[in-house]
Amino acid sequence: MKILALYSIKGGVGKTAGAVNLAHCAWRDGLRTLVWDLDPQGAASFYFRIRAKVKGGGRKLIRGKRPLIDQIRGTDFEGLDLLPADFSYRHMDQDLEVTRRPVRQLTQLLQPLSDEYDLVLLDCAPSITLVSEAVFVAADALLVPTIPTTLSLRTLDRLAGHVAKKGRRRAELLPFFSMVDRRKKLHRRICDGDEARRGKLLEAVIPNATIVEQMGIRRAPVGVWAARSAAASSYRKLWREVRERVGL
Amino acid sequence: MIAFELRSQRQGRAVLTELKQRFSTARGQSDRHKRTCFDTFDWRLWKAGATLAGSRHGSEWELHFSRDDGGAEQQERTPAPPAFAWDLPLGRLRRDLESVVEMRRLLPLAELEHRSEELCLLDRREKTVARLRLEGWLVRGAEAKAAKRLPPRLVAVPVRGFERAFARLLRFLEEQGLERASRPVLGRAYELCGLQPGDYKAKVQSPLEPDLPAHLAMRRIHRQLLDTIRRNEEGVRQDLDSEFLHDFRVAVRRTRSALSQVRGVLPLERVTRFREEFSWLGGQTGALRDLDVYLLKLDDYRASLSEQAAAGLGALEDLLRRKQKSEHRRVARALGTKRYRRLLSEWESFLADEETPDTPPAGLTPIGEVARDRILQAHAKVIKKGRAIGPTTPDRKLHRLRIDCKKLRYLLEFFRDLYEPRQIGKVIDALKGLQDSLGDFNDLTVQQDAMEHFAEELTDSGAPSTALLALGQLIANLAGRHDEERRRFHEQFERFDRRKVRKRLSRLVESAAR
Ligand SMILES: Nc1ncnc2c1ncn2[C@@H]1O[C@H](COP(=O)(O)OP(=O)(O)OP(=O)(O)O)[C@@H](O)[C@H]1O
Ligand SMILES: [Mg+2]
Repeated sequence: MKILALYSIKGGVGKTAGAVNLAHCAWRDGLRTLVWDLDPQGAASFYFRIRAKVKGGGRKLIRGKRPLIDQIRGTDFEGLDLLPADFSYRHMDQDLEVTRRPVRQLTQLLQPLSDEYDLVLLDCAPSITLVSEAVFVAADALLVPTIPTTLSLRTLDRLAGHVAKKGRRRAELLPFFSMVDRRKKLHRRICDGDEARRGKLLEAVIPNATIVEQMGIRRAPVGVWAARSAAASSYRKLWREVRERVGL
Repeated sequence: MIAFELRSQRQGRAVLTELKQRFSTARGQSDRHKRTCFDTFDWRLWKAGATLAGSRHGSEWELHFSRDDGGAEQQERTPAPPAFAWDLPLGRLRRDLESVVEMRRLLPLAELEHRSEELCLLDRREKTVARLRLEGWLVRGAEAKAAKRLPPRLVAVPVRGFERAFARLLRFLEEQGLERASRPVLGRAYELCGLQPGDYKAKVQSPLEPDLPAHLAMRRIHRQLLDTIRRNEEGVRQDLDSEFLHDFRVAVRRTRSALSQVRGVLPLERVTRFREEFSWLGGQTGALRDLDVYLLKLDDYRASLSEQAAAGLGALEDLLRRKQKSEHRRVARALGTKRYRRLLSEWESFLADEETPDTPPAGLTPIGEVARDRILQAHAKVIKKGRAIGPTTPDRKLHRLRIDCKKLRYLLEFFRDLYEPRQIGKVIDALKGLQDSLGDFNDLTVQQDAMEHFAEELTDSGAPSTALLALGQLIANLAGRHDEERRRFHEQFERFDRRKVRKRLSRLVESAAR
């Protein structure tokens, strides 16, 4: 079982869109896939039409008082499941704090699922907190949607430094350009620039596309209702590249 | 997933229409595919509750593997239809499949054509909370031309976390007067092809009653062994996998063992000739089995060597494959001879002829008594010889003991049906532990000799030095395990030679001999 996290310090960059669409691509490939919606706002749960609520609240779940498996729900795609968000996840830092080894806690919680799933995608809330620390330890790779601006590249460097800092087994960093608008000069310059060419970022690029925005109305991955769109095909390309990189 | 069997497609449609009226639904995916179903000759997948099916997609094969005990279906693409688990790309499917079928060949048994349409039950959010699938199936046997139709089914599929909706769906289906399907599709399909899943067992177990005259009991046992020989013959001839020959040989050896150990109950003169002939047959196949075993062990060999030495195993593998091929040709020729065919047909009529006047008087003794005498005798021999083995006893005595244990084991198995199953099972298990250690010990010596022999051959044929390095290391490893295996023997023998085991055995054999 591989664990991949859609993660970024910044909000609104396409993490949730990435998690939902990549999960759908993985499911298409026949992988048994689980999305864990870690964001108290529950956007990923919403896209899968599942109520953002866990029975008994997030605290018991995070402390390991209730097995994750009991809270998992099937999506509309047989073999693609969701562990829903809960509003109480906004206290997840405190809930982790009281466990024996907070940064290992997510790893520990996910461990029993390793026979059930081939892939777990974590849709993280934006920020850098104890939860993110735990994600860095649990995940095999961090998929970081990056809008092509100078600032975001600098943030990426800082993140890389931070993730690499401590000696433990930590996630590999796999950033990719997100919401790219090739009409914008800056986007073009950065996407075609040195950083990108040095292989720091994945090759696949997710364009800025209204199709992706419309997911909020359709409440389904783009591959379902706009399979031929450029956006859907860019997610497929991203998926293939990620799959290759993490050896799935 | 719960399946309901239907009388007709029309009945299924009517249920779907009714469902549409009563619940909020949406059309789900419809599906159509045609897949070849695989299993091993001895039904390993079937027995493990697993299914392997595949179909051609362009130049590739797409395989689907699933298990009844849950877990999603696994898929894999391969360049060719699967023959052995080890041909598949490394990964979970291969691991799971290999743990079930091991070294047995995957045989295409039937072609299943599937067609389905689906209705999704929706909740307020228009989220799918359960599914109902109408499935139709056609099946065609490996050689058959015409396809046969299975009764259609309605399959209710739960969605994780929406158990209440699923319960509602089941209630609805039961209200419609539907009955749950009692058997899986695959079982029905195989039967329509004239196959009986699980009908092959390498083990003998003839139904016996303690007071059955011994000659009749032995005929029964022999008939079963003959059946095993016959059923494996074709697989041996085609060299489908190593286990056909293995089972074939074991049945021949058991036949010989029964003939020589249970003497005096069948007409002596005729039996002597059969014994000679079966001994000939056993001799024909020994070398091929040894080569099969070395080939199966190659992976273990590879793992036991340093990386550098392992690279040299290629030459040994080539040599083994060449030899295996030519040995197989020889065996296939032997199975084509008149001598072989005559042996089997004469043996068969001899076994069938139960009224023969030359049956000796001992043949009329109840089998329970004969079994007791033979088993006790064989057991006493094992105990006596085993106890005589000390730390300095030469290895060859252990090898002889191994043969005596095997004889005892065969007897226990022939007559198993006479005894209380749990008790006889325990005795056999204790013996098995001892046999395993003796078997491993013997293997070490035999392999060591063989490897030395191969090393000479490779030297003569000018093989690269890496090959000799590999063999040198292998031989050293085998030799290094000698003392350890001998120690294990003493442990195992002590466990077998306990009062409790001896008592259990004598109680058992007496129970069937009044
Ligand atoms: N490639 C894209 N093209 C156009 N719009 C996009 C694209 N990706 C995401 N969006 C839109 O941008 C908004 C934010 O996207 P998304 O929710 O995926 O980001 P996020 O990183 O998960 O945000 P948050 O940090 O709040 O969780 C959404 O309204 C989404 O529809
Ligand atoms: Mg989000």
